[in-house]
Amino acid sequence: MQKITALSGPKLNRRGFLTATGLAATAFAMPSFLAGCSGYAENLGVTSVAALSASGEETRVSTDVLVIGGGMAGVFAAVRAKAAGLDVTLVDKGTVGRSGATPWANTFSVFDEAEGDDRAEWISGVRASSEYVNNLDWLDQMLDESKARWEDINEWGMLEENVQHPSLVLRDKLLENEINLIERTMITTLLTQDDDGERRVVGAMGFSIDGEAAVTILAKATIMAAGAGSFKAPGFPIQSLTSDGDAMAYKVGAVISGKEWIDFHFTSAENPASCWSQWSGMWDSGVGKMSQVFTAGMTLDGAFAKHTGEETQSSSPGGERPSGPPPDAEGGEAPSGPPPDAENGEGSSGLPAGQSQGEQVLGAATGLGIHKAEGIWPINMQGASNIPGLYAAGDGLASMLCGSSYVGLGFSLSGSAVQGAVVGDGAAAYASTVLAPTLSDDEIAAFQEAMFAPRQRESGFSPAWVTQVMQNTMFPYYVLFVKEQARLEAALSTITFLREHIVPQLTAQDAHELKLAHETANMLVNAEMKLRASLFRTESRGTHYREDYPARNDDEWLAWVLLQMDADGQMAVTKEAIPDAWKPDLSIPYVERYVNRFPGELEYLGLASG
Amino acid sequence: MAIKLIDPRKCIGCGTCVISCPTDVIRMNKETSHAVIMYPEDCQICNMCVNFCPVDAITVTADKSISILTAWG
Repeated sequence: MQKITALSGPKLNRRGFLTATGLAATAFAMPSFLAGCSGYAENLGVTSVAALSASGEETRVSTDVLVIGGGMAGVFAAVRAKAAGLDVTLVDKGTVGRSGATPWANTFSVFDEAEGDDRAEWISGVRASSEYVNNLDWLDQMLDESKARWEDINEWGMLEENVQHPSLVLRDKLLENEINLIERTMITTLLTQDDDGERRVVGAMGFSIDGEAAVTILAKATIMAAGAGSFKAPGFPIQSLTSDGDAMAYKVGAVISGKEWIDFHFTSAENPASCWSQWSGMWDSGVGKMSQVFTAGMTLDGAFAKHTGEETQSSSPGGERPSGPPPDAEGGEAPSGPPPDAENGEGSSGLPAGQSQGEQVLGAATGLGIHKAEGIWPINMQGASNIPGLYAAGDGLASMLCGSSYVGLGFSLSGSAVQGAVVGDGAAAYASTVLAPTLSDDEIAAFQEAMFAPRQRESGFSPAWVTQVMQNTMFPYYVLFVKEQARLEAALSTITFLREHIVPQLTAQDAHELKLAHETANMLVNAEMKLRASLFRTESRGTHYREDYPARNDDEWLAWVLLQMDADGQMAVTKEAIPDAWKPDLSIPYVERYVNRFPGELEYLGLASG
Repeated sequence: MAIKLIDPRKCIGCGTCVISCPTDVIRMNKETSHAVIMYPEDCQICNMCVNFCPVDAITVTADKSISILTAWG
């Protein structure tokens, strides 16, 4: 029987916390083997839950508000919930400031009318770039509050030149605010309990990647701020992000959205796995203020050119290119991610300082969607999900601040800060109204048994092998960049097979591989979501291109695609129309309403000239 | 390939690289008090370990190869 330990109170720093939980006393045991892509094999590290429990001290924490993920959104959420007078615990898969996407962020969008920013112009640009499937309420929130959040991070010291690295300031801020911090802990499971027939989220469970002890955190409110994720694609430094939040939320019945939109980051054809070759300029430049919006969405012309054998389709004559990311060396496509330096305008060569100038290839973040346009679907403006007790913020919240394409440099970091703050307030208010969880030890034990299952299988498939098969299925351009029904269905067949037949045979030889096993299963959920959402949206829009439906269809698809597990455990797909007031002016001719062109679009619409 | 070397002659055993690696490639060897490369196949070549190492002990190269894929291996 484990004791529930309430860890709160003044002057509780990380060392004190770890000592209190016993994690510090857990020595790292060096495995005698290296995990590799071994495929189906005997599990050389097989063990039992009982043995794992005996080898390290289990951690149990009761808290008011649990925040999962310590990036910009999670830290703002934690600080605000703490300011409401609650006990707050933040858990991170790595070390706060050194994990996820945040260490690589370097632009923060600030809307400031005092500096001459025009609200109508920003709204117009965001709507056009999103191709009208964005949410104007969340945009209003960002326009209203981005300046205050910028001032916050300035006050925190994040912008000072003498900091070792800007994102490290976030960790200091958590400790300064006496927020309980649990790091290097992979959260795998949202805990739920039924209260009078209503299922609510009451915290989360995971394990330490060092000691492998189970970590159980019971909470009145849980904020998912674990970011988005890719399929561990090469060349973009987010391989620790594997859509864990979406997958965990989906499994407890939450609605997920935005999965048909796709990211379009590039990497270098030479040494494509090297993130540093691509991103050293971002690392060195610090965080800068950005105040501009695009006037049109990103295009996938590079992939289209490879597919059709013809040069870029490009925008119509009236359309402007997105203002930030410049064309690549081939002149065909705009790498979206690495922006020019925000402060001094460097990057006039077309790529930020330090980025490879050689040939670029698409797909460095395959699996990722659009910032602030995928993840857990909110039911209010404070990031509550449809499951009581579960909130989301940042890149794991489908706020639709952006829509089918990114809308302006720095919107992601700024959006995370703004959303983190309001969601922290919302979750704190909720936590103040509900009773503490009453999950029994037996129920907790059952969750643990499922979490450690890959460690107990005597033989099976390695996570690395399954991930590689998934990558081979999902990476080629003709699956997610140039979509078509039969190809999507073929990929879906493989992905669902992996989920149904291979995931139950995943093995893990040690804590590191157990993390990989859960990441692999989570990536497969994301893959299935992306394929089903892409099949469902029978039109093209923004970054979603269907070769068999190569044009926008405003009659049917001014709508969001929603994914939710049905009563049979299958992934159900529905859509929700955007409000009429947010739709584009349909009296404007199509080719002017949408300035970016898809291959075959005008022929499909009967608008091709000559 | 990828993370290549943590020079034991330079490593002071501070553990900074361990906590700086987002993909858990590096661990401390308790017996030698040196950081060691444990899971190089998961290195994403982000160079955070290199950037945070106080004694410049880590070498990461830009190239990386992956395992051959067979029917169940």
